[in-house]
Amino acid sequence: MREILEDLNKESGINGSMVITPDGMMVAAALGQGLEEDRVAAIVSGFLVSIRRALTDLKAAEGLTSCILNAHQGKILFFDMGNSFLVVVAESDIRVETGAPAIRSAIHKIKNRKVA
Amino acid sequence: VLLGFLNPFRLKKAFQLRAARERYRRRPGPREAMELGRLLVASGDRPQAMDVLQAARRSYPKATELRKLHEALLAKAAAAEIQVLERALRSGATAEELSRLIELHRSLRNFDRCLQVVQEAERRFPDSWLLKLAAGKAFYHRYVLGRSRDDGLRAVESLRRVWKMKPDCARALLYLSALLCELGQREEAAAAADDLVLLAPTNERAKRLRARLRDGAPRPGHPPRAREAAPGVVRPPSEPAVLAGVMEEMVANPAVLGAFIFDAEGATLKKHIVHANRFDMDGHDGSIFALARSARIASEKIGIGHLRTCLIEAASFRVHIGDLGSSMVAAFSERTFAAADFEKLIKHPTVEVVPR
Repeated sequence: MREILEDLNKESGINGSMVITPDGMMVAAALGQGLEEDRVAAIVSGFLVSIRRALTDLKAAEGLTSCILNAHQGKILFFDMGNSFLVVVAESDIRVETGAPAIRSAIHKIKNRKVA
Repeated sequence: VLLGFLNPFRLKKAFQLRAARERYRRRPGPREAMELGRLLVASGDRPQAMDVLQAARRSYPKATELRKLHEALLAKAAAAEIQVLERALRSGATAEELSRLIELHRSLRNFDRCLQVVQEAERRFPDSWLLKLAAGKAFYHRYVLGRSRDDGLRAVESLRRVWKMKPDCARALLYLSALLCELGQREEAAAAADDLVLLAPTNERAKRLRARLRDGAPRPGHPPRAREAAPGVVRPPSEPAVLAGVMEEMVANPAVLGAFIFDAEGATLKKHIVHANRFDMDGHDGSIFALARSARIASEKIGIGHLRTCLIEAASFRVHIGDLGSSMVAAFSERTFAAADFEKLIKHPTVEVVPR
């Protein structure tokens, strides 16, 4: 799985990626320098809890499929992969859409790998 | 008298009131404040009830039910006071009483009656600056609601006369400066703001207004703000501005289901729910703000700096969050409303509006 993440990181503008469980446990990580894997996993997991809580309060029955945090010094994207999440760290000035082929491809590979 | 004191009904009420006070003291919260407020009103102690509710509103600005109860009691009190003052008007009221009557009608948005009283008051007391101020404020607030330029100009006229009659009336200058700015007379507005700061150098609102007028001029090359291009949308001087042009443009998009603007503490400054049946958005402002704040905190904690925007996607809808520093925007939309559209809207706000 780490190889898939490292391949993804070769894409222009993508600095790192990791796979976590919804409760914040790290499955695999290839994050760039300056980002602590456990810390990012814990924060993303905390944010996922907030999203779920808000959607439950609003009676929005559907679950989250993806999320992009777009900040001044970078972007964090995360994607639901069933029972885990792909977290991608990207640069702030690039356009990384949720449907970016490299990300879709990585998700596909991770899912297939898990099934196999 | 003794039987009166031992009346079981009165004893029960007194016991309930005591218990409510104790609960509020031990665990103050909006619900506890409302319970105590209601019992105080029932026991006839309306002034204390108002004090409790007012203090609680300061502590819990997001508590909708608390706000409604407080406003209902204020309206009831105003209506009772109006009855007394209307009687006084018929039997020869003082200028102070008439000014109060104008203010009360204005607070209840009875503008027709309010302006009838203004007319009558000006006939009786043509030299009263207090009544001119009340008239100026009445026209000003009607202008805010109806956006009629005529009301704006009449407000300016009344406020200018107050300034002439009572040059140390900071309130008149505060309203005048903000109003002139909204009417597109920026230089005159700035001059009035200068005078205002000289008159009330420690007044925070005055300083903010002057700073906005003197330092907030659009930079060359920047698009003009819509409120300058289209005078008519007013920002009352007493409130911090929020970007509700964002809101107006956003809800005009058919893919947007609802939008919220919050201040830094989470008070809802503006909200517009377009499709109430899609989600249970109404009454859940707190949850929506908590989500927006979580996005901001997550962004900072991870180390990617201050949040700009956040896009949350589900199978059939999107949640957009925008961090504007002193305020946050949250919008629910169909998936056809792109993140880029949202970003464009919050980067180029057009109209400044105001919290209620």
